[in-house]
Amino acid sequence: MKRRKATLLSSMFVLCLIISLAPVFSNGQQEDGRKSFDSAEEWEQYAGLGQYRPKEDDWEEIERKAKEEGHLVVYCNSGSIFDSVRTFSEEYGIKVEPYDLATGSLYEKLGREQKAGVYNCDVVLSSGTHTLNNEFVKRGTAYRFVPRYIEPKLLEDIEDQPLGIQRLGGKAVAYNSEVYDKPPVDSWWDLTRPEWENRLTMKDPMQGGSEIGMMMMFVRNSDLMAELYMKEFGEPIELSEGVENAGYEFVKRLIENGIVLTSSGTPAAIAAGTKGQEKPPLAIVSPSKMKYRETNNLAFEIAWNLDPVGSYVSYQALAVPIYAPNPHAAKLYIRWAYEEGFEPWNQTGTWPARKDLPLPPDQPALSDVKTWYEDPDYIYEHIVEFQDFWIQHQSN
Amino acid sequence: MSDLAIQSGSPLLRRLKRNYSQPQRIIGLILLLLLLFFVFMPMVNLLYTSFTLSYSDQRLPEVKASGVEFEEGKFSLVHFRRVFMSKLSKPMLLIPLMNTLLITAGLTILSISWGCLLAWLVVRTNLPGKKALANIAALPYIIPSWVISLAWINVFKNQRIGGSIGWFEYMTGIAIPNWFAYGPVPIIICLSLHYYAYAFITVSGALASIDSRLEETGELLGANRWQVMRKITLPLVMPSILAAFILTFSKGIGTFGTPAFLGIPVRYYTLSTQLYANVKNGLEGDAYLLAIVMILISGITIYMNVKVIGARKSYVTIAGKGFRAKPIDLGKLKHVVFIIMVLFVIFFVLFPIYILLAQTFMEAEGDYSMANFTTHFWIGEAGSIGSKGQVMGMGESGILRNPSIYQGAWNSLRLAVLVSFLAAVIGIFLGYAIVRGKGTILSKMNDALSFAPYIIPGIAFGAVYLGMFAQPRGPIPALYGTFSLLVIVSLAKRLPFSSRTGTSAMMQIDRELEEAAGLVGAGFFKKFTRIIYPLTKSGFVAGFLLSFITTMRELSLIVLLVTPKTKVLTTMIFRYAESGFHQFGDAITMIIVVISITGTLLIKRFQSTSLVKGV
Repeated sequence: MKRRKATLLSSMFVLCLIISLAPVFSNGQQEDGRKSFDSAEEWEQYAGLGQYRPKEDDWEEIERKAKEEGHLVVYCNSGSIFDSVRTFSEEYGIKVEPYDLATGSLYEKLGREQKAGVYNCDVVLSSGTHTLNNEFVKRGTAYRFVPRYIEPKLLEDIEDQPLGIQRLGGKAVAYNSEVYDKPPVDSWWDLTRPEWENRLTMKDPMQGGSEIGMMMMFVRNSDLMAELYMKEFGEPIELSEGVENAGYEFVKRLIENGIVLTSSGTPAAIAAGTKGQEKPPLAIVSPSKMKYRETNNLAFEIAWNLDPVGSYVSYQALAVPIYAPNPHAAKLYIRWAYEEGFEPWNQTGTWPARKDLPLPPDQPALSDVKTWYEDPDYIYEHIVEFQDFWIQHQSN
Repeated sequence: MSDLAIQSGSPLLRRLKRNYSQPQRIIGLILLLLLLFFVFMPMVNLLYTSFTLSYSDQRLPEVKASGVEFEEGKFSLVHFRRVFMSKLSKPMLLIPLMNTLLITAGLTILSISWGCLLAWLVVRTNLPGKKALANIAALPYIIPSWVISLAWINVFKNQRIGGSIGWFEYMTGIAIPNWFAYGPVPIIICLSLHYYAYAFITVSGALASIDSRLEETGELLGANRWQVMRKITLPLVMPSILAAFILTFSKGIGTFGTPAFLGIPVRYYTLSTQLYANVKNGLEGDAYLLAIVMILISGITIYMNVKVIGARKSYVTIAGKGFRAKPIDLGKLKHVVFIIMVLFVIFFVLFPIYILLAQTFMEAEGDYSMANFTTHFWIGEAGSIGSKGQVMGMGESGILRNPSIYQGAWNSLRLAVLVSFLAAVIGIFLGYAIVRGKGTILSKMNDALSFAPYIIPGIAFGAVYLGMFAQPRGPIPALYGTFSLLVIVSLAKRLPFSSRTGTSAMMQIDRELEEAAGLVGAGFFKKFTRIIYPLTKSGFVAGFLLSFITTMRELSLIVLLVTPKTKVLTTMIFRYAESGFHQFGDAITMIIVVISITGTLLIKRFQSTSLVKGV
């Protein structure tokens, strides 16, 4: 009896082992998508990208080849990707694997994979364009692709951006519209007043995300911040010891006023917008969180008219990484992401990069809001300095 | 590996041949080579990276200010200066270090004392219903530790971060003070609620193997109950308490999820959250130095403890004769203790699980009304519309309809099975090499190296493997993106555990048995399969079970190594939790719990072993 039990147990082990080991030692070629292109040029030629990008996109051919490839892998930082690729898949019968990754991990992964010679990803759709541009596109390991016929339809403001921008997001101040019938603040400097002590919340800028880019813009526009301080408080700003300029001083005072940090943006939006609060906090969040008004029953509005800016504007860009195994499916999807596939993102809080698309409901036109546009190169160049400053002041 | 040995010259080969009668040497040598490659090299790599410039380091203010032309891969002290001797040292190193030490100390004291008390109650006393209590009390071992912190937030949230108030304030109207809602106190409590299970499981195992006649002898000689406890029971279980201490302490140093969820809102940073932030911000060199600091702290503390307490360990408790454990009568206290235990189990074990389960059925988080009930997150179709006209779950289907969940579950399952099987096998070989070769340098090196992964925080270990195996190394191809890498890293991290299990199992086998078998002509293979394996089988299965559960819920170790193709359940949960989609995440957590419990029960059916022994 005992023997039988032991035999049974060990055969179970062996079975498990065989099943589990099989994929480990099987030929990895197919599973991890290593492709046998001898050179980047050869791949560019096959993909019709880089120097081999034709003057005109032949969409019939792209569609035919995409269907031959039959497969597509998208790395995206937004959950709405699932909805977008579902309709794409239905339309073209191409099997899509969408991966929803945090911005930081997305580039970390892509970079590591490329270093290891593993080429999984066909399309990147993400924010964090300072990384995408400086560590991939500029180094020739990812390619810009915007359909030729879309190019003239893009917003003038982003024409000279080196990346293919699909949509623009923001970071703005949100308030609870149940308690306040109009924005309780009219300037970013108001957030440093005692009234808002411990009552401002946002995603921790040190956890990777576009919050840090927004904060850096205050530093970049420090003269304007000094001017505004004068206007707001009637006296010139006094910089703390070791603080370089009014922008940094603003950031420092924001932290000292007890800013509450969260690990992602949604909890911050919910904190500001939940009904039934007496003294709700303000939140620095993406206006796209307005979608939670319905799903989570929030009283949530954006203070679009703050000084000096109503919203920081960040980019969501599309790119095709080098050696993407299905570059034609990638091109076809990118076109989709500018057309029908844009629908899941066409929500309040988002500006389409195409100027011919109608704005989502409640969304002010970019021309009606004072904005700071993301400056990928500035951010990439100075981000460490800012991080150092933040870390020095973050602890209580 | 053996190729290497052969190439390095015939004298070695001759010596190997000569020592064939001592298989522990060959096994020890092979293991040593593996350990050097998979444990020692990564640590060297960690150090190396901290002292070299990477591509993104050209943005460092110190590099820009130096005026020296930037060169990727060059030796540089810049990270060392930044972390240890600049204005950043205090916020980046000292403050997080102090916080980490406070949390780890609190966590260790709380979970060890509670775990020991619990173990003593269920093993040695006549507490009613102890069998059921013991099994439920071991449950937190299965749940990822940071999941408890999510439940804590749901219950004890206060006005500090705004939003809806927590369940507690809602029910009682009592405002939760900040220090109880966020920061070190809840971090310590939440972590203890998970880690007490370690002490509980190890110590109850040790207590169960004590012959109560040892204690009775003490009583006969006139010792009172306290003296018996102090002079007899405690010393006997000391090695297992020490093991639990080491485990808890080193885990505490490296723990990430809980301090992230409960510390960041009040800007309370630990070394692990600071390390994670540094990695996310592309400051790898800084991050790795923090990892080295973490390794040093655990290393020094554990070394000191082993020196102080461990010096007088090792008692032979298995006398070979049948023994009995006479339960201690709790007297009138019996019912009071029972009620306290039941309350503990209900509030601190079952309630968090209930909160998570309830969450998976809520259309909007935190709304417990029936109108808010939905089964979408389990079985909903992609693109279904919710009660307020929104697309449910961002267009994702319920997890039971989602093929990528099945892929993740399958990956988790095969990873857990493979790792626990290999870990148990390697553990026995390591135990064999260490115990039989006792006193030799080879044995000591194997012992020390197999222990090293204990003190490397999971997230740092993952980071090192990421850096090391993204490129081909020696005979090993680039492993990043392969399933094998997950197996190897999990296996390496499990080494300390399996080598301990293997060593202690092997210590029980007198080598005379082997020698006897050798005399009647049995070869090594026969000795191993006919004597060693049968005798260590129960340790083997117990080790398998622990590894299985640990691997099922491992996050910080593999979070950086998983690619979309190799994703496992825990990394999927973390992604959902990070993006605020708790319902999906909680539902997947439930799946992990179910798989782990099923695994435990299955093994229990075949082998009379369970997480909690001696009950």
